[in-house]
Formats: sequence, structure tokens, C-alpha cells
Amino acid sequence: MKLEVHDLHKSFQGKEVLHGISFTIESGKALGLLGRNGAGKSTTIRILMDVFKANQGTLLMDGKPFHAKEYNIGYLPEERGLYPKKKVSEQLLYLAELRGMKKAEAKSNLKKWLKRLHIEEYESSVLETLSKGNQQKVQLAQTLMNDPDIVILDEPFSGLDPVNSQILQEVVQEQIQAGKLVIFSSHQMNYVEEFCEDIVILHHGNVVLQGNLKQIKKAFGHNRLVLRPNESCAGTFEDTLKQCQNMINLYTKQAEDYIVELKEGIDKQMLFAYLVNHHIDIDVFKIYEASLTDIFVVKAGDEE
Amino acid sequence: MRAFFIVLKFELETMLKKKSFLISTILVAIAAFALLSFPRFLSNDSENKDTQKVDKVMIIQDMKQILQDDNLIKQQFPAYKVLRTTQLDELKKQVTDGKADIGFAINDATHFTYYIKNSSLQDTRPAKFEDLMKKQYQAKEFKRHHYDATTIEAIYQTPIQSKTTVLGTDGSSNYYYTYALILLLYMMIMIYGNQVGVGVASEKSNRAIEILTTSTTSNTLIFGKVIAGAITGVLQTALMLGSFLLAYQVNADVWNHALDKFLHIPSIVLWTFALFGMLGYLLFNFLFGAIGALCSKVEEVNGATMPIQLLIIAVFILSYVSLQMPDTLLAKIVGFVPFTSWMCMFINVAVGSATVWEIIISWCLLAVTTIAMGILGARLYRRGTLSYGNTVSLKTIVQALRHHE
Repeated sequence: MKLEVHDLHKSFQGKEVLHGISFTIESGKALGLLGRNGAGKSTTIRILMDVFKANQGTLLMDGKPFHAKEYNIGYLPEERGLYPKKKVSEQLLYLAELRGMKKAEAKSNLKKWLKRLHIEEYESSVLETLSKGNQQKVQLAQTLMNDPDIVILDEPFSGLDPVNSQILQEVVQEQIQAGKLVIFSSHQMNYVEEFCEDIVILHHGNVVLQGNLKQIKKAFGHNRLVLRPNESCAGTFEDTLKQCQNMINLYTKQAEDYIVELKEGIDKQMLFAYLVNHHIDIDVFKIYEASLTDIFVVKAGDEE
Repeated sequence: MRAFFIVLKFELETMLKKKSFLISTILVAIAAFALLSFPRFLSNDSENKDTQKVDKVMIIQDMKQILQDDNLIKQQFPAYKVLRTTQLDELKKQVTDGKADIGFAINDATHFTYYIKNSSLQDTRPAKFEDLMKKQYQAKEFKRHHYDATTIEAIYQTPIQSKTTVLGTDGSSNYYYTYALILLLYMMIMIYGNQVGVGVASEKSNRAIEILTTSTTSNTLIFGKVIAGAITGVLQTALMLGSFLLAYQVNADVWNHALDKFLHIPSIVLWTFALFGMLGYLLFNFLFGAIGALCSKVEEVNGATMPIQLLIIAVFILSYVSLQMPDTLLAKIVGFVPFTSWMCMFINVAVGSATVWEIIISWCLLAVTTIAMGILGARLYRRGTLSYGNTVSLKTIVQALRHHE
């Protein structure tokens, strides 16, 4: 399956919050939908889920118009919520049946997922008596019980401790390996880096960056080097960098590391030779590889 | 349609398992039996229940031999053994010691004194004895004047019989049950409508609503919820009324069948009540559900539904006016306006003179309005799904209706 989102626009009370969002995702891959609070992630997901209609734009699945109701979708909304005073089994069976599953199959899947998420002993418990983490796992069971073809997870790791996060990571990996189309929205970049082959970064309702994560990281590291001076010359290192302005630009400073960008026609050997010739004591000299957090801050930070 | 029944079943189970439902139904049933059995506990003397047994004692002092025929006394007091004494002190002692239950000291043909150890408000025995003395006195006086006592008694007792033939609607006898039915309908809509609103708002406050609206259509959800609420209301009302009727059946003899006339409701009135009441009930439940969806918290529901509650109170007052003054222009108008006809039309049927065509037209208008309210309610429900944080006002409702998505 290939889901294509083209030029989505959405306004609320005359104010446009999405200004033409486009991206593509295929089965067996996870797309990381990233952005700061209010960037438009949840609105985009809600349009996909047909909670809202877009004012403009198209959704296509394998080239045909996409309607959420026609597909088996597992949706974990940002606004978590089930029935706090109902038993876990009662509400999970209800929601599974409501999405078209037969009762017997729903019962069997209920057992399977409660066991997989290590919460089988809470089957007959009232939801509000469970810990926050276990309630979150019940919510995840609700998302996956119908064996969906499309899995949409909006901030799935919020509220989970490291052990439960590990279980959830395994489950998400299983879904990707099983060929599901996974859309994953999170502020926790380490999880996105782990699962997502492709990312889309939204900022103020616009796509500011999208593509294959590896290629993006490579592109961000292109022509940049990490320099960490020895303590003996740390105090004068910035002056040293200014002296070689014809070769490099200071890109950013991260703790003790200086990330510099080579100017056109300059390669790393030339810079290295310069530093050696001028007896500048360097502890670390390496090619810069941007983390997703770095990329995110650059693309979705306020200075942008 | 499958999804509708799944929602209906889930909502019904939720409502029927609620402690408030179970407790209120059981309490009302117990109250019905207690209330209708109450008169049984009031008859503290034995004059009614002990007609077969003679286990009480009455002592009489009758120095002037006014009332000598013990058989006459036994006819009036069948449960009593009659003792006689010539000493007043003896009479008082017997009553005080409990050897006699009651005592009468006859002074002359028109005066007597009643003696009892502890008196009660409900004691009818002195009145009975007075009646006995009166008859004895009258018989004696008739005889003294050479009148035939039997003839005079027959003249006095001859009843004047009358018969009323109602050619239209019997408004006077229909009044009480019509009033009871409008009160019942009013209470059902107020109680269960509010419950539907609270149910929807709680789904929103616990954030289950986004999962629900992405799992099925909002029409399925709101129709399932409202109809489940309606069934619960009808079921509980039926159980409560049923317990009243059963309690009355058991106790009808104690009540001397006094309530029978209120229970013989003509089928046309019952049918109009059922058909109009059910639509009105659904109509307002849709409104309560839709407003509930616009509230972010359960606590907001009462305030937000206030305009609907005021409307229902206004309809109740209008229906009461129609009941007092049937066949007026006002009664006719409110019988046709869909927001009032659900309660007012069956009043026109019960105490006024509504024709079959008027009933059909009014019902069709109400049915169309109810369906429209259902659709409108579903739209508000859908709009309200994700509008957290804003207090519900008329402006929000209008905005919600104007925006398609």
C-alpha cells in the first residue's frame, strides 16, 4: 500500500493551520511525523482519520481516493481516553466489534494482545484502577487488536517507563516488519531514529523537511567537521578559527565541540594540514553526523 | 446497522448496570408497596379485621335501661363480648386493668360517656355507639308518636339517582390520569435526557470520543446512545409503574378500589400518549446528547442544558393550561407545534376534542422534527467531538452548526 498526501490545507475559524502538507508513505515502512507543539501533526493525522475534512488537498491510497472508513486502521490518538469505570475486556471488545471484528475473534485477539503487552492479569479489572503505564498499554492493545493494515501512533511513548517503552518499541518494530504502514508522531527523537525510515518535519503548518532519514542526516553532515581542541588551546581556539575564515565557517558549537563547515574548494585534508602546521593541538577531528534532534532544532527551532 | 446495535447493546448494559438505576428502581418498588399497604397498618382496632372472632370485651353501665338488647349491640360491634355492670367504678377499673377494651356509661337516651384506656385519633367506636343510641332513640320516639319507623326510614334512605351521558370527551374523569401522565413524561425527559447529556459529556471528558468517532459514524453513536437512554427510561418507568400497579392490586380492597377509576384509561389516550411521548422523549434526548458533546466536562452539562430544561418546563406549564382549558385556540396551537405537541396533543385527545386527522398531522410534524433533531444532534455531536475547553454558549452551538467540519 502506498499512501500519498497532497497539498493539505486546513483552516479553523478562518485561520489556516496547514498550508499545503504533502508526503508519501508505503507499507513496511514507518514515517516519523515530527514537529513542535501546534505544528499541525495531530491535525494532519485527524484529517487522515477523517475526524476533520481538509479544506483543500487530496489523500490517495495506491492512486485511488483514500477514505479512512474503508481501511482497517489502528489509531492511537494524542488525546488518550477510554472508559475509566469499565472493565478492560468490556471496552476493548466493544471497540473491536465496533470496528467490524466478530466477537469470537475479538475475544481471542484480546487475550493475545493483553498477553503480548504483559497485562493479561488486568483483563477483568476496571481501567481506572490500573497504573498510568498499564492504561497506556490497554490503549495500545485497543489500537492493535483489529490487526490493522495502517497503524497511526500519536505520541505513543508518553507516560511510559523505560521497561514499558522497551515493550512498545518491540511491538512497533513487529508491526513494521509485518509490512504494516506505520505513521509515528513523537517528540522523542531517539524512538523516531530507531523506527522511521522516512521523516516529515512540520513547522507552523508547513513541511520544512522530508525524506529518507539516512540521506537527510548525510546531507546535514555534508562538508561539516567536528573539531574538539585540547584543553591547552581551548581558550584561544575561537581566535584560531577566525584566522582560517578563508577555509571554514563556524556552523555551531556543542559543548566542547566546534562544528565547522568547509568552504567551497576546501577539503578536510587541507584544514587538517593547516591545523598541524600551526601546532594547534586537536583531540577530535571527525566528519560531522547530525542527530535527528540537531536537524529538528535547526528546522523547527524559532531561529528558523 | 450492526454497529448501531453494538453501540445500543453497550450503552444499554452500561445504563442498566449503573447502581443508580438498580437502587432507584428497587427503592421505588419498595416505596410503592409500603405506600399502598399503609392503610393496612392504620386499622388498629379490630372492628374490620376481627369480624369473625369475638375476642374483645365491652362493658356497659346502663342504669336507665336504655339499650338492653345485646343483639343490637353485637350487630354494630361483632367482635365484642358485652358485659354489664351497675357500678361506674367497676366499669372504669375493668377498662383501666385491661379486662375490658372499652366501656360505655349510658346516662340517658341521648347522653353517654365513652371510656378507653388510651385513646387514638382513628377510633371510630364512639361514633358507632352514638349511631346505635340514635337509632334506638329514634325507634322509641317513632313508637311513642305512633309512626311506622320502617316507613320513615325508607323515606329517608330513598336515593335520588342520576346519570350523566357524556357525548364528547369525559374531561372530568380523564383529568387525573392525564395530569399523572404529563407529570410522568415531564419527569422522564428531565431525568433521562440529562443522563444522556452527562453520558456523552463524560465520554468527551475521558477522551474516549475520538476513538469512538474514528471507529464508527457519529450518527450511529448518537442514535445508539439516545435510543439506549430512551429504552432505559421506558424500562425503568415500566418497572416502577408495574410495581405500583401490582402493589395496588394486592391492596385494592384496603383502598376500597378508590383508585380504579384512574386506571381505566381509554386506549386512544394511551396510544396517543405512547406515540407522542416517545417522539418527544427522543427529540429532547437528541438535544441533550448534542449539547453534552459540546461540553468539555460533565459539570458543564447542567448549565449548558438549562435552555432545554426551561423549554421543557414551559411545555409542562402550557400542557397544564391546556388541561385546565381544553378546546381553546392555545390548546389547538400547542397541539400542533412539534416542540410542544409531544406533551400537549394527548391532552387534547384526553380532555379536548381532537380529530383523528389532527392527531395524524401533528404526529407527522413531530416525527419529521424529531428526525431533523437527530440529524442536527449528530452534527453537533460530531462538531463537539474535538472542541475542548470552550464553554458552551448559543454562539458555539450556532458556530458548530454552521461549520460543516
